[in-house]
Parts: sequence; structure tokens; C-alpha cells
Amino acid sequence: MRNDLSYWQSSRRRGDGGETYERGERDYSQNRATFHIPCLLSSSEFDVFEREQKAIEDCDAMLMMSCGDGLQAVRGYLEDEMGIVKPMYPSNDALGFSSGGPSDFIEECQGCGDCELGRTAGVCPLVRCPKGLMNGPCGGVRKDGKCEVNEEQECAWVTIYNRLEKFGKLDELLETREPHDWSKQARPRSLSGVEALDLMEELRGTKKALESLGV
Amino acid sequence: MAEEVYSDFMKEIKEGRFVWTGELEPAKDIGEAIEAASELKGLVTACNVTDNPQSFTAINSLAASYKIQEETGMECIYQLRCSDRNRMALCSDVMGAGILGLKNILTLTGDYVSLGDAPMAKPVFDLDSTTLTRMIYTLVHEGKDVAGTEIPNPPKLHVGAAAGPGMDPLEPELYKLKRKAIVGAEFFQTQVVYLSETIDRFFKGVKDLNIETPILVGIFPAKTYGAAKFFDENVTGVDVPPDFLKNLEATKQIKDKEKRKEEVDRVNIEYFTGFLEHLKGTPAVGCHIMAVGYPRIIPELKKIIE
Repeated sequence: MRNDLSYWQSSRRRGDGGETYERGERDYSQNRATFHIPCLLSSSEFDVFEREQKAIEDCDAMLMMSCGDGLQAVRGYLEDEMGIVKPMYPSNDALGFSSGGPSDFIEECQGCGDCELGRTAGVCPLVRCPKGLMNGPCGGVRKDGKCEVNEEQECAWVTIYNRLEKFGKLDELLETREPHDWSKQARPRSLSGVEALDLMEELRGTKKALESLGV
Repeated sequence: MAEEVYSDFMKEIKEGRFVWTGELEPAKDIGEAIEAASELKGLVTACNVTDNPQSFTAINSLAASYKIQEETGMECIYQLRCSDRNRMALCSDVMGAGILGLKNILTLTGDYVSLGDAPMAKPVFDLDSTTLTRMIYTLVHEGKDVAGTEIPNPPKLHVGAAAGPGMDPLEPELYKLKRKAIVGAEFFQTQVVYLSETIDRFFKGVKDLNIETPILVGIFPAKTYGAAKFFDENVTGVDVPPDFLKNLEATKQIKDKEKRKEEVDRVNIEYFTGFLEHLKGTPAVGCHIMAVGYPRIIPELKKIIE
């Protein structure tokens, strides 16, 4: 669907709370870029939608510059709390969890619900190996142990082998690891009964603690 | 380890004969594979039937194996890869292979889907070649399916797995072979090897880990320079010797088609005489000839061993 959305209308607020909106057209399909930004929208800031209610009601569709979670959280808020139903389109292709930074990121955990790291020398083959092999390596390892699919990346099972060798546990490689239990990933996964934390309060506490340490 | 023998292929291994297997690639049409199987009859004991090789969509290898075996009498080694099926589908297919009278299966991880013709497909890899091997062994010898449910008439077939002698580093691969041997692999067929040093390094590792499973070494006599070059450039863990490549390339200059064929055969025989003589001194129990569409070379190769 996104590929069909060659043109999009932007609704941009101008001035200090006035009701003037500039509408423009832009060729979206020609402009693709990758951004890594932290999530800026916490649910405590959803009152922005009430402030912008008229603009939202007037627009034909909304383009969400967020991950899929952000889009769906806003969709739910607009529908459930404000009774506004609008077509919504994502501007981003979210990649999920990633670690690393500040410039290079890599996925290390898929949050599968059944952690294998204790059986795989602390390296997750479900994520690091494109095939997610629990008893690797496959026959496609390149020279010097690089991955068949991504030659920049070391084969997960070569990494696991090297780590096990370092802590003298190569015997673990003689055991066959059970196939992964995918039942924990029946979707959508959910949690309930979680006690809410006031994240802003926690952050303020952290800041104070750091300041008291002179950091 | 299993004592019962279900296939001619396994019978010959148990008898201690040097066993030859061939390869059939039913791509989009079964006709060519059936023709090739007929040509290979009498030259090899059994033929592997590939399953979506290099992740290119092809005729289902179970159906193809059955059809080839029925129409030509060539015993098939049905290849089954983990890329495209989850554990239920794999188990169903193996039970299906049993009722269709297939006698040998080779388990494979399978290439990643992005290498093939449907790169946007969802890759499966629910099992890997070790757990697939174990599942098949359990089906045959314990009569239990993937869910642990007893089945009244377990399939009667032999399960084998693949090996990569040329892999670098080799140690993780050797441990994987050992694992596959422990869970019940009854034979191994290796990726193509050209160098005697690769074979020696591999068999030394096999011995160090006490892997006693019979091993057939993969060879690829090249019908054309292009075929050898493709292997050299595209298949991981396979180095085609530069001299062999050069000699094959030189045959392209020969205008007369018959003379060119003779020269290609001569180059192959010259190379493989040395290699197979060397192989005789190793624990290899046979050769898996991956040269598709080049049956005329096989009698010559067999002479070297016999």
C-alpha cells in the first residue's frame, strides 16, 4: 500500500497556536532515508492530539513518522479516546530491537519468549544466524568464517564455537539442541497485570542520583 | 546403529563395496531428470534428487524421487531441506516417502531463500539438519512421529546427511558431523572436493572425533569450463584447482565438437586419476558424482578405483 502512496499531504502547524495550515504535495517515493531516533512520544504526551484535534479532523489521512507500535498506539488513542477514525500510513520501516550505536546498530534479541542464550554461549543463533539454526553452522560458511547471507558478518556458529573453546566447553557442541519452542511466539503476545511505573519520576530520580555523584 | 538394510545403496555400503551415487536435478520438467536417470542406470547405485537447489523453485523432490524410481528403477536418495518446511511438513513428507517406497533420504539445511528466485519468501528453518536427521531416525527406528505419537507402520528408509570437507574453519563443521552421527545419520555425502589436502585434513578431523559413519566424497567432473568456473565462483567451501580450470578453458579453442569432447574427457580423467588414486587410501566408502548431464565420464572414473 505504501508504494502506492506516491504523494502525501503534509499538515504543518504554523505560528503559535493559530489555525493556519500549509498543505503541500511531495513525492515521497523518491525520498528514502534511514534514521535512528529514540521514541519521542510517551503516552503521557498524547494530549498533543487534543490540542491538534481540528487539524486531525480536517486531514484526509495521517502519515506516522514512527515505528509500527507508534502508529498503532496513536490509531488506538484517536479511535478509543477521541472517536476519530482516519486512514493512517507509516513513513518508516521499523527494524525492531537493536543494540550498538551511536552510528551502527545490530539486532541481537528478537524477544522470542524462550531464551536460548544459556545453551548457545551467550550468542543468539536465532537472530545472528539468518537461518536461525540451533545446531549450526550450515554448509554455506564463507572463507574465514563469514556468513553465506551477509559476508560482513561472522557466522554465529563460528562465534559460538570460538567462545566455547575459550571457556573450555567444546563438549557442549556434542549435544543436540532441541528445536526452538515457537509456541511462546503465538501472536499477538501480551502482558497483563503489570504495575505501572511513573517513568518521568524514575528519570528524575536517576538524574538526581547522577548529579549527586557529580556526573 | 541400525542393522536392517532397506536399500541397495545401504546394502552395498555394508558389503564394503566402493559405492557410486549420482545426482538428478528435476527443475521445472521431470522429463530430463527421467532421461538422465535412465542414462545413469548401471553406472551408479543410487541418485540424489535435489530439493529446490540453490533455493530456486523446482518440482517437489518427493514427487520427483517417486516418479524417477517408478519409471526408471533407479534407486533415489531423496533430498529434503529445512528451508521451506516446518517440522510438521517435514514429518508428513517423510511418512509420505515411506508409503511411496523411497529408501534413502539426505537431510540438508538448505540455502537461504535470498540466494534463489523467490528472495521475498519467508524462510522456515524450523528444524536444522541435525534435528531433521534425528526426527527421521526416530520415525524409522522408534516408530514415533514429530509429536511423539506412535505410528503403526513406520517408514523403512535410511537417513544420511551432508558434510563440508572444505569449510573454513573446519572444526565447527566436524562437531556438527559428530552431532549428526550421534543422532543417527547412517551415511554422509560430502560437498564437492577437488584437493587431496582438503580430503586429508577432513578425514583426520573425522578420525579425531571418532566419527565412524560411512562417508561418500563428492566430486564434480566438469563437462564444460563454464560449469567448473561456476563452482569455483559460487559454491562456498569449494576451490577448483587453477590448473584444472586452465586446461578446461583451453578446450574452448577446439573447433571440432567431437575432438573438444574428447579433450574435456581427457582433462577430467587426468585430474581425477590422481585424486581418486589418493582417495583409495582414505576411509571414503564411495563417491558422489555431482556432474549432472555428464554420464559418459563415469565408466572411466570407475576404472580408476577398480
